[in-house]
Amino acid sequence: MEKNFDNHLKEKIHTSDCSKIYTKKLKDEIWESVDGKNTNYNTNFFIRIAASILLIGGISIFLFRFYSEGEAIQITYSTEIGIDFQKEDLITGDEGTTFIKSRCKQELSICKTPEFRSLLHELEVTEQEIEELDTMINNYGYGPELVKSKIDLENFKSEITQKMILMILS
Amino acid sequence: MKNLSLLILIALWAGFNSTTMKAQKTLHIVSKEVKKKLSCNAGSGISVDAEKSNIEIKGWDKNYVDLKMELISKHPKKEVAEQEVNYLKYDISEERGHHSIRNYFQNDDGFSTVKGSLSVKYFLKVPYSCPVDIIQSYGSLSVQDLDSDFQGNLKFVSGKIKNLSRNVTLDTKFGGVECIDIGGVFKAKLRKTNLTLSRLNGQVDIESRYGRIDIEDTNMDMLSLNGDKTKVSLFSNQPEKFNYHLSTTFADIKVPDSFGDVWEGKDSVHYKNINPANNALIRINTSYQPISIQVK
Repeated sequence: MEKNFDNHLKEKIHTSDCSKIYTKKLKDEIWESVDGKNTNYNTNFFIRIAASILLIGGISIFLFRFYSEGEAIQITYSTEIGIDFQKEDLITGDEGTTFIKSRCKQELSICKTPEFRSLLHELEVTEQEIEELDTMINNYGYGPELVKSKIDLENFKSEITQKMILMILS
Repeated sequence: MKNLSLLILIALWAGFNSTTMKAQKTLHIVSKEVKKKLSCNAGSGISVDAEKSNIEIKGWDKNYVDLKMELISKHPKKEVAEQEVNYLKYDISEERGHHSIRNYFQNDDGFSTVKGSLSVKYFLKVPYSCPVDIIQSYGSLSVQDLDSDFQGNLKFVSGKIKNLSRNVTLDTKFGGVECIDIGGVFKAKLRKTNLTLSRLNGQVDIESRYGRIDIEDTNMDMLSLNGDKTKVSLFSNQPEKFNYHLSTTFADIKVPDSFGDVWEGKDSVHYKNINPANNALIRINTSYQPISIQVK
């Protein structure tokens, strides 16, 4: 009797709508479970991509900074005891050059010799150097290096001028 | 008597205040330091175009250039030093792997002069094989330990170039340069420059107008020196290992007694010794200044 009842119940369950609902529900759960697993798989993939991009980006920024943009600027303040060079330190004169030019305007033969012409060229180049140096002094101030250079140039100019004047007067 | 004392005091006061008496002052220094690393190898190179600067370059075993640049402003007033440091500008650029570094002056209005003193210092560590090219005016230069070509265009620069195994090319005006241990070809165009060469091992080719050239302890393959108003001295512990062709005008040539006679013309003096033929030849030609060959 009891066995017959069980068989009957199983048969009823398999043939009833309730069975279809149960089976469908079970299948949906299984698919949702699978979908859920798929979703987890996609999330991990994107995290990995993002991490790779971040890593590559980080390395690129490091290399970029290292090779081109890695410029560090720092400003420091200190004091020292030294000389404040002033403009009146240097006195120059062009009397010699004026004398040579005025004499050579009179077409002296000595002014046309190769040696005199060579010295004249040297004098012109030196005067040009003095002009450039004056610009440097205006820009960078009367530091000892520039003052020394100015003295050297003026001495050289006076040496050339002296030779030329001696040639004119001889 | 009182008037005399007063006069003496006034004279002393005037003396202390004259422009010839330079008083020491506290100067404020504002320094802007720039640091950068640059890639460099034998195929590329580095150029520096510097004015009013001190440059130190050293070779090292890394594959990049380590640059440190200091832009310095000095003045008794801090605010002036602070303002004027901004007139010191610089560029660091790169084209096809070749790096160029430059400093220059630029003020706000374009015409006023500075009140203090401005200068720039460069400290560069470069790979041994990285070629270096310098254009520099007013300052000092030190280059050492390179296995690459070096070129310098220098004006009013006091320079020391040491331990360079490749070619060195110089173009200098109004300066003093000392070169020690140069392995390759040394080529120089000098004007009003004092040059000292020690322990050179390659060919040497020099053109010089005004100035002085001293050559010491050399092992050159060949020397060609075309000078004008340039004094030339060669010091060697074995001067007989070279052949000589020397000439000057309106001046003397001095050689060791064992070398024989110097030929003296009306205005010019010559010395020639080309035996044995396989000795390295030293050819020096100058004017108005002497040539001397001395045993060290």
